[in-house]
Amino acid sequence: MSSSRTLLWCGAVVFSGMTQASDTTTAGAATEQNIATPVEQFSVLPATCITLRQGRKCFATITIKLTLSAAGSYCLYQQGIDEPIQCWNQVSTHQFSVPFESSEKVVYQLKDQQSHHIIAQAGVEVSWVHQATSRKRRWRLF
Amino acid sequence: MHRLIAALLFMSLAGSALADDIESEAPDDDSFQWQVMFEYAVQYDPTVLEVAEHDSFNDFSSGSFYLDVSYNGFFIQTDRHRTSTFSGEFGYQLIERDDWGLDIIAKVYLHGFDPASIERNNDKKHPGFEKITERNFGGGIALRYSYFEENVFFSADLATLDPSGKNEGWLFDLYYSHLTVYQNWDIYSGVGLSYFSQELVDYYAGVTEQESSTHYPVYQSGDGYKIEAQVFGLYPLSQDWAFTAGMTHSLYSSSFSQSPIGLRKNITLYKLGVRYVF
Repeated sequence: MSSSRTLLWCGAVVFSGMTQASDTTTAGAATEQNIATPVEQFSVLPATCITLRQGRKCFATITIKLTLSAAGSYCLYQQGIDEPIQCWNQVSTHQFSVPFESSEKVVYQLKDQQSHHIIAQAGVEVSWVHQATSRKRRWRLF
Repeated sequence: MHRLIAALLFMSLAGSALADDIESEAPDDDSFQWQVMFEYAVQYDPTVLEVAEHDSFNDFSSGSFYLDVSYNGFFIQTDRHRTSTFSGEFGYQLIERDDWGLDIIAKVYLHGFDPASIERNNDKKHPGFEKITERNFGGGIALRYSYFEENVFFSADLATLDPSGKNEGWLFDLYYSHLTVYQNWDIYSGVGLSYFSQELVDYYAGVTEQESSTHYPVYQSGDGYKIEAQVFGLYPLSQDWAFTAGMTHSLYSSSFSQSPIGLRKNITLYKLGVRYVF
């Protein structure tokens, strides 16, 4: 089994804004800048996408839940991509789904529309049932 | 047939040695590898015998361990891609190349059956059926050619079997499988063709004078074949569990189905299960 198999494969990854999650190690850039944000909940489900074989793309529909203490204008980004997935104006709670298709971990970032600061982020891991093997023949194919 | 297998074996070994001299390929990975899986399934798996009744829960469920071990050219493997439940085999790799290989394997190709035992468990009795003698399982030694592409597997087995201990039979088994990956699903579509020598078919389907009765007249079969088509799917449920579903349809030649013993011409197996990967 791969080391990644020890990762949690179920349950929510819930990252709050820095004011609620200052004790976590993944509070994002906003935490580093110590800027207060109105994010009460930013969750991404499922936390892990499971594929049959290591290295394969994994497909899922990701549900993202956002709860803000005050209405504001925000955009959701996939880390490393400049174009936002979705933006909202003057919302305090929001839930939506996005298609997931990746062979490696994807991090979603919630950014303030004006400052472009990351105010929350959460990732979806990719794991697998069968480990990839260098063996040429016996488990190579299927 | 033993001579044929031996001749093919000699030719393949000679060919392998020559190829090694020419290509000087790096030796294949000879490290110890293993994998164990357990599968529990509910299934509808009618036996080839028409008189065998399916009525208990055990007839519609199955638990199977799939063991794969490989070391230094030797291997034990179970064919996880076919819905058949008796596909374990032990073998040795004679030639191993990137896209093809030649193995010598020991494998059970045909189920046996015990009419007396079946009749004891049947509610409906079949006069004369108990006189039919037990048929042993058909295990044998085979030479297997395998061809691989990224999503394609093809194998050709030439096997010698002697389930009766008296008349050696042989079979030729061709199998082609294609993997389609659709999102998180692995879907295997396969077709197979097996040819059985007259000795083999007659051992399983024939009725001798000693076995014959009013309902089971003497029957001597010719050679025969089986055509198989199947679809088999796997879907990951977690890092340890996968869902499995499969269907296999087998069509036997009339040399089997015309036997007075009552062998089905068409058999369709359905299977739904979960698989745990250790």
